[in-house]
Amino acid sequence: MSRLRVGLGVLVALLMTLAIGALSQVPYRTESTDQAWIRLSWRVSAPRIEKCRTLTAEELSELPLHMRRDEVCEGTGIPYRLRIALNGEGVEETLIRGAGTRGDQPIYVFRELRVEPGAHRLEISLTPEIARDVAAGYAEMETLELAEDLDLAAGDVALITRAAGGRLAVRRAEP
Amino acid sequence: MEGLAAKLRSLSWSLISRADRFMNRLYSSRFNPLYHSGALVVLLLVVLLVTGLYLLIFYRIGEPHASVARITDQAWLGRWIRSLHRYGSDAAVFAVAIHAARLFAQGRSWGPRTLAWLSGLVLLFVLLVSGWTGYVMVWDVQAQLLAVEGARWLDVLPIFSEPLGRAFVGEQAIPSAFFFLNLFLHVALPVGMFVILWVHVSRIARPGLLPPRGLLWGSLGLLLALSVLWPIGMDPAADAFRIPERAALDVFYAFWLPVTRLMPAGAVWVFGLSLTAVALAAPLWTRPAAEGKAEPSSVDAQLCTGCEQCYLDCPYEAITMKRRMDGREGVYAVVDPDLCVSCGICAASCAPMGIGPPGMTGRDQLERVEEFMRLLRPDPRDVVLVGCARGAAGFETLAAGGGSRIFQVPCAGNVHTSVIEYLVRAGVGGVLVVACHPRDCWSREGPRWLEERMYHDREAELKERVDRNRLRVFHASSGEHRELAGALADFRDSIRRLAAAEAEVEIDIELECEVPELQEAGS
Repeated sequence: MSRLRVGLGVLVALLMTLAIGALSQVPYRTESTDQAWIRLSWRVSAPRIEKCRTLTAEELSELPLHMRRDEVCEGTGIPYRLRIALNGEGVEETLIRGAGTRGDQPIYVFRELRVEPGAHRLEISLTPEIARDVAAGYAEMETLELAEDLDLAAGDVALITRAAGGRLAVRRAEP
Repeated sequence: MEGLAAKLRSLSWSLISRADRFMNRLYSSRFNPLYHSGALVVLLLVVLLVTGLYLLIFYRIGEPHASVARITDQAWLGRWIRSLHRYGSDAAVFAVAIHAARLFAQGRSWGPRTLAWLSGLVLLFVLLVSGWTGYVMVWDVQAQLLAVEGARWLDVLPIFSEPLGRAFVGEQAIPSAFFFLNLFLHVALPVGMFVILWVHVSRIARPGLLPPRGLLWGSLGLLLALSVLWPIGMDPAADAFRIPERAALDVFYAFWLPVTRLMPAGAVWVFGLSLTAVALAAPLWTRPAAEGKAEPSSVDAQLCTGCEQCYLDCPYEAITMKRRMDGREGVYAVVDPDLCVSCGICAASCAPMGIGPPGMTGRDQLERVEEFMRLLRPDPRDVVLVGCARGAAGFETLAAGGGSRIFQVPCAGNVHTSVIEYLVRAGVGGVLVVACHPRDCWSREGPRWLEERMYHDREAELKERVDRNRLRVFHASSGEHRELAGALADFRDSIRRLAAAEAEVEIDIELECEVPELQEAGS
């Protein structure tokens, strides 16, 4: 084997090794930090609206013995309406239903708003979407609201979540 | 579909054979890393296991980033062991990719090799997931990106009542249980890989699990040097309250991240699952049409002497020996058609020529070579190439230009020594057997058994009466035509010299000397 070939062999091995080193830590610009983010993340236990009825004797007879109950209730969680306004301008209005196939699991809000750095007025409300007469039966229904002035620097992330007492609050660092 | 698969395979084989040729010239076929890609993966897994054990001692699930930073600050040991762990895992992905591409290009992904193909895909998947957990364990910016992206994918599935992504937004401190789960997976998955590896090679009689020493120490030395001279640094710790601007991305494990982050999670699933399905279905779409498939070996029980040589030589453990039920004593060979890849190696191991795929048994080869010689009408200066269909592929024209003919066989290990003897005794000048490089044989052990049968008395050995000067074995891959042409020219020269020497020997010196005397006496 000639010296040239040995030298070339060593060179190729070194280049391949260096390629592994280089590809192992490629600088990757993930996000533009010219922006700031407002994250919304919290959960609400939505009460369940149920309609109950008494089963007829015929319906009962069709059920297995261990499943025979006089009254059956069907229902779903109460939906909530989320409204977000930034600097007085509405950016989102959505009806949120509870998670799960029956919609009876807690409601989750999980959003990310990308905004320009600087001062912002943020207004959020999450209110149950239910007729007043029906709502009267559910005294524990929560309504969450927030109106806050935020001053965000480039690259900042502000988290809107539930603080002590269940109210919405702004968090700027890990607990 | 079949045409597309063939084109894809042909394209990949063209690239791989060029790379093979280049690497053979640099490192010789014995140390060509491309031929040892599978064994290199095993070596690297062992490296990962050893270095991982060291890192495990110092890693703390309660302070993931800080504990890894402490390891990295150990200038004399921790820093380079962590780097070796990282670079080793990267090299493992690279080697797996080469290994998979090679087997795909060689069409070794269907039939009896389906298990190896599928288990190989599972190994790759587990390796990537294991790498993912390893990166998340560090909990730096890249870890945060990987975790958030993974959660985004999973949140699209209707199986979680709460979005997993909320765990990483800083609403609550990330529980230690999350890092414990990561650590557990990062340890358990590689351990599981060794089990899958066992399945992966379970149908191979003598798997080559480690590369040759030179390549082994060379690869380790290079990775070690890289780790010491260019150690892996630390990205800043993950911070849910700062936009992650930059990360040092490991392309081997997170090559998909820049693409998937731009795609909706549902599209990522559709694309990922489609790609997985295509890869898993490769044994179906790479399988040749029925007419192109060779039949598995069969045994003529009447001819079988029960010597067990085929059983010993089969690279795929497709042959078992069973007690005879025909009133004769002893055992006979039985082929499992589900394991047989029709390489025909067994045909060459059987002295009485009682085994082999249809058309490839010793008897079939003798019939073929008889016809071949009838057409060739050999000259004592002619060299016949007995060429492996892969190693000598496309060489016919070049060989014919120099007056040589190719007697093609599916694998050099399939050539029965009687064929070689027949050629020599029929009067050809020499026989050049062209085999693939030993670590690149598509039937794994063809060149090895050929060499042993020709020169080391392995059954069915080439008889002593055959002049070895008229034989030569040359290893070539399909792209090495120049090298093969050189070897052929060299062998032709040697046969010419041999013929000239024999012509001299045929001159009776005594007679030559006596003639003048007789002439004198007569005159």
